[in-house]
Amino acid sequence: MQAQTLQKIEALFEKYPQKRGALLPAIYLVQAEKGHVDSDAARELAELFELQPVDVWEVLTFYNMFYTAPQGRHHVYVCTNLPCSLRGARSLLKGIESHLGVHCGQTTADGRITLGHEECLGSCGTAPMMRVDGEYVENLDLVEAKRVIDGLD
Amino acid sequence: MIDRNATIDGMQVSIHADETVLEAATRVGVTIPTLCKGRDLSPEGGCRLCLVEVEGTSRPQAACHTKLADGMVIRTATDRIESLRRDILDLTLSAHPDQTFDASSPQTEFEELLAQYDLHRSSYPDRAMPATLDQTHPYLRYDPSRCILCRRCIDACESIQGQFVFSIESRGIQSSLCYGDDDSFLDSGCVACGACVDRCPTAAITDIDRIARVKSDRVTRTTCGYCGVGCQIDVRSRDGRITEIGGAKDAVVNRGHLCAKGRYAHAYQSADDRLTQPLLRNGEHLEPVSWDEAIDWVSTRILSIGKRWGPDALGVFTSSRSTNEAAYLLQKMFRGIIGTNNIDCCARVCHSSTALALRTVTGTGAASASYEDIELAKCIVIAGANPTEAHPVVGSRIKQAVLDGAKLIVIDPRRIELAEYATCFLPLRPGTNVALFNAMAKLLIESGQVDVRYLEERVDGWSELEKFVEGLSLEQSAQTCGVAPDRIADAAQILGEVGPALFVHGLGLSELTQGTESVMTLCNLGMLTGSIGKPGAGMLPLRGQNNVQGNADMGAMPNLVTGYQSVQDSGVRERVGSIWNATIPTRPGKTIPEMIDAAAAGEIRGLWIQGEDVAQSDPNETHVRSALNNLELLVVQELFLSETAQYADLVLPAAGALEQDGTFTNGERRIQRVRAAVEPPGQARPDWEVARNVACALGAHWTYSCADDVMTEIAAVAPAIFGGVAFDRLGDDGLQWPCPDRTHPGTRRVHESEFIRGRGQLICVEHIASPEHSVDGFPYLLITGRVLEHYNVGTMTRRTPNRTLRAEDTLEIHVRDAAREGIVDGSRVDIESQWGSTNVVAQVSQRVQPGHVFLSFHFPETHTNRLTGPQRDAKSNCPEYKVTAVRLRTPETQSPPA
Repeated sequence: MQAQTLQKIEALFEKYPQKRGALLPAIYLVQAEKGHVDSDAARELAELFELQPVDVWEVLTFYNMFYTAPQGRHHVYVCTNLPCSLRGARSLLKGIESHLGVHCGQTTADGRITLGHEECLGSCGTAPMMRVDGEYVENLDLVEAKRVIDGLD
Repeated sequence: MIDRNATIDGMQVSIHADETVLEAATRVGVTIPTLCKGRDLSPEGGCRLCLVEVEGTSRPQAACHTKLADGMVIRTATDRIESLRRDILDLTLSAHPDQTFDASSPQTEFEELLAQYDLHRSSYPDRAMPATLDQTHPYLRYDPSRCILCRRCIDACESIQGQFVFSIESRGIQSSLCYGDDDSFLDSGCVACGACVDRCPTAAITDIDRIARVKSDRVTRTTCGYCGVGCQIDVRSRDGRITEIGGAKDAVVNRGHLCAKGRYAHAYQSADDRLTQPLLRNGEHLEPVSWDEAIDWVSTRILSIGKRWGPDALGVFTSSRSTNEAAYLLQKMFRGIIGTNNIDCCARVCHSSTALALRTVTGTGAASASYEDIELAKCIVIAGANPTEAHPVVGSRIKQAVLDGAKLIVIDPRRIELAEYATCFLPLRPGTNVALFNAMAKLLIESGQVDVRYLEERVDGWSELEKFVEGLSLEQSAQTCGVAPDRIADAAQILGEVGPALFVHGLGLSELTQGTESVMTLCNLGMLTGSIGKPGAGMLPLRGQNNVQGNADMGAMPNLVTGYQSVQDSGVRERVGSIWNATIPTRPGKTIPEMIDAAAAGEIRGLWIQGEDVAQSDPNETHVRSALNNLELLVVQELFLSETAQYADLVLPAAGALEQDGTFTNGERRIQRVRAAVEPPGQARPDWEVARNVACALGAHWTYSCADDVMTEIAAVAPAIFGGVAFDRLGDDGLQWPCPDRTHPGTRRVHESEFIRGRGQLICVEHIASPEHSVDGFPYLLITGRVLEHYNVGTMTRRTPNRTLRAEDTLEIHVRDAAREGIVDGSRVDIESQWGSTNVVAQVSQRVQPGHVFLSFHFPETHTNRLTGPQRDAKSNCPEYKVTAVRLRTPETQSPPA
């Protein structure tokens, strides 16, 4: 972990009554640095937080916005919860899968995009929608989705 | 008056503080099913099977998480509840569609419930997750297809062993048990204690013994034959073969817990190379003979050596692995029939310094405290001991105490596992304990953090010690022991503020040229803080072998007859002699190192060695082997043809710990029963029987027909400490000595109101460096010791799958030293001391400090003790295993052949 990340994590400690409270934001910081949090990084975090490595691993694998293996440069997540599905999210996802040539959960061979699906992202009024690198892209159809995805570097 | 009652299934139940509905129901005999709450684990609340109806609430409540309160009306088995439970089990079963079982003999808690609710196939769709059986570990198995994610293993691993191996990975339907980020059971931090196996309700985690389980026809409660903790075990056997060993749940010593040795390492018992008949030397070969021939031969040889060279040309080492009864009879035979005090046991080469120091300053050489003081302690000091490896069950208890808030000070040259849990860790140079303890005493005295009342009322030598420490310099002491003055001050402050403290100490204190002084100066700290004799405090030396305490107790010492009575006291000789109908020799005999020297010099002509492999375990191996070679007569009682037995003229096949009756005494003075679980193989015999038969051949009329008879005599010979000890009183948990009469309950804590010697004694003694501390051309200090997977010289553990867990001894070397020496992990290194050399595999590590190296001695091919030398503690004769100057050579640093 870079000195800068470490510094940011140490600054976080003061915001929480207990050190371990800062674990989630700390994982975000490590992930921002490396793109994922592997087992070495988890051990480093455990030492820093004075936790057992299994405790960090449990948190890390519980949340699906944390990655333990390398990811694509961009994350494209399509919401497939009920309202989005009623508005065509499933076929949208299928269309994106064939456009990118990967299945949901996989990364394109060039390492550009990791495709996934999410349960409700809380944007039912603008269904169907997807989240691209944390940004919402709403009121989608396949043409628009392809345009956004093709625009990613 | 307020009614403090509740009702469970119509029964009036009293309210106990903080009791859950589940606990109260169990108390009154109502069974509520549960899959996630283990008997001795905290409630999890995940399985929902313990749901009960609480009158006045609309929804069922989890009994494991609901406190029983005044006026509650609980129904545990209404139709609604039973239907819910069946449905939960049905859902759980749907994740295990392949699980079939015999409803007439359910094997697990889960199967019992399925049988009870008449469930065989789930009515829900199959939701099994892909699963691969993990059989990487030599003992343990994990089958994810059986796991119901109850989390009991996670809790057991954390709250019993303190190991933190397991966690749940991912979430929802994808959740699975994992070993953190480790790939397999073998690679995980698992220490094979088996706590998870005992508690898994589905046998998802199980072990090879349970998988191979055959209906055992016998269960024998006995005492574990490994370390000095003295765990109680239930040994299952069938047709004379051991099938499974489990921890005795109700035992005070281990409360059901065991370690990788005690629970699993039993394959040695039926190993192919067990000795099954007496072997007599014929030239180069050892040839089988009958017991009659063997006993006839050995008694004739003993008599002729005694006649020709005098009785002091003979000597005996009793076995710390064997029973009290065996040790007692052998010392009685050598003292009473042969007429020599040349009797010693391996306590000499481990805790003799401890025993001497404790006896000198407190009046008894044994622990003042009990293991139960671990849980009561507010402050624990571990000095020169590595309990999580050498005494794992005590180690896990210490870990739990620390996780529960006790302060921990670890004093050890190596970063042992417990150092990770320490409030303060002092990695001192090996062999500088006296300097460190004196510095701590100085800090305690000068800051006024001493127990003045305790010192005034109970202890001598306070003013002398005050004056003595005045002359000491903290900086100089700090420099001597290589620990920063601030760190020493931190430790002293914790001790002063949180004490009284429990001092857990081991061979890192005693196996030094200043071994006795190390323990005495540690006792200074014990007395200054008013610790000795108080609950949760005192001195707790961890005894190495299962019955090393007992061997010393029985009089396997050159100067003391049974019960620490001096052979130089004519009253003792007369009284014991009259019971024995024999004359006890006046002159104290020789210690083990002295007997080895005397054998090398030709003064000792005949040695009887019972279950001790001195050719591997004793220091200065080359010297020991030449001494053994020089003997006219060497008799060895052994399980296997050990390194020592290969020098023997007569080898007698011995019964192991699982094959004989008698008693062992653990490190907290607890005399516990040993019961034969299986018959010894072939013609192997219990040690006490052999001693009796040889004694009779030497002309005695010993009529003991069982071990019980021997204990009756021991009680008569040493009434002050064993007078009340008898087999019929030992039950499941034994008795802690002193136990002077039959109404005495045994002694949990010694020196409670006053010291056995009257007043405790503070000691003023300066640190003196070992000659090994500065030897030109030998820049490293070698520390020798033990690892978790193996026991002593490995005679037993090397013949079990523990060998897969640890296949060889390795030399731990600090990463910086390794870089300098050009040593990489796994490379072979020549290591050399002034006394000898050997070749070992290096393990680059940060556990040792720079300048130190560590090597265990479990494998004969390592020849660790070729390196250790002749240095000994002058008072106790305990060898210095813990400090040897060595140098290292790698193929690269060796000069090319000329």
